[in-house]
Amino acid sequence: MRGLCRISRAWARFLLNTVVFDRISLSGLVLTSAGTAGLATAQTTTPYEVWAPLMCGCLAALIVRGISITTPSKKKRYMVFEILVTLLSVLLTGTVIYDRQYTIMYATFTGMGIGALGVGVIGMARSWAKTMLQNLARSYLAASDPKKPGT
Amino acid sequence: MPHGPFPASFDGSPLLFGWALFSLILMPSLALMIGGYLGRDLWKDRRRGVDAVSALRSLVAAVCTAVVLRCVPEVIYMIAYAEASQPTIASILTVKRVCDILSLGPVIFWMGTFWLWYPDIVLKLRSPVALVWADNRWPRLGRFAGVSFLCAAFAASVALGRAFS
Repeated sequence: MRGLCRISRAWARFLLNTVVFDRISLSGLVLTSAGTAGLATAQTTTPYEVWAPLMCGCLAALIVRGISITTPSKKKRYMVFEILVTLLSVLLTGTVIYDRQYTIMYATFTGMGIGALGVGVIGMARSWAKTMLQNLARSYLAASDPKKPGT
Repeated sequence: MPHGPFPASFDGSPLLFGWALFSLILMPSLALMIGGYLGRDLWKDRRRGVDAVSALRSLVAAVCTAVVLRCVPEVIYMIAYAEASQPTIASILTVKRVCDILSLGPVIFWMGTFWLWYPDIVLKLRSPVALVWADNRWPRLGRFAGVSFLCAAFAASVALGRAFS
C-alpha cells in the first residue's frame, strides 16, 4: 500500500513538472474531455435548466462544424481527422457549459464559437487538459503530504 | 426571465416558435454552406475573368448573403429574447434593422447580375458542348439532410427548454 502511494505521488509530481503535455496526442485529449464530460453529467439530475443548454450548445457546435467542413469526403484520412475535431469541439462545449452553468443563450453562442474554432480547438483543449491535470496533481500532493502532522 | 419565454408574436406557442426557429436556422446554415463553396470556386477561377459561370456563381452567392443578413439577426433575437435585458434586446433589434438595409446590396446585385447575364447563362447551358453528368446526384443531398436534422434538433431543444424552464 505504501509502495502504491509512493508510485502515485511520483506520478503526480511527474504530471506537475513534465513537459510531456506539449506532445499530448489527440486521442488522449478526446479521452480526457470525454472523462470530464462524463463525470460532469453523471453528477447532475435532469432538469431542463441543465439539459436544454447542454443540448443547444452541443448541437450549435455540430451545426457550425457541419457547415464549415470543406474537406473532400473521398479522402478518408482527412474525414476521420475532421470527425475527431468535431467530437472534441462537442465535448469541450458540453464541459464548458456544464462547468459555467450557462443558460440557453450563452450555451448556444459558446457552441457556435467553439465549433467555429475548428482545428484551433485542439490547442485550447490541450491547455485546458494540462491545467486540469496539474491542478489534480497539485491537490493530490497537498492532500497526501507525508510531512503533514496527523496524516 | 425579464420577458416571457417567447416573443409576443408567437402567442405563447412553443410549436410555432420551434418551427419558425428551425426554418430561420436552416436557411442561413445552408446559405453559408453554399456561399462558402461558391466563394471558394470564384476565388479559384479568378484569373478566368467575368463570364456566364462566374456571373451565375456570384448571383447565387449574393442570394446566400442576403439570406444570411436577413435570418441571422432574427435567430439571435429569438434565442436571446427570454434572457437578455431590455437594452440588449433593443440593440439586437437595431442591428436587425441595419442588416435589413445592408441586405439591399446583395439583393440589388443578384437581380442586376441576373438581368444582365440571363441570356448568356441560358445560351451556355443550352449549347451543344455543354455536358450533362446524368449520374446519381442524390448523395450530394446527404449533407443537406444532416444539417437539416441538426437544425431541427436544435430548434426543438431551444423551444422545449424555453417552454419548460
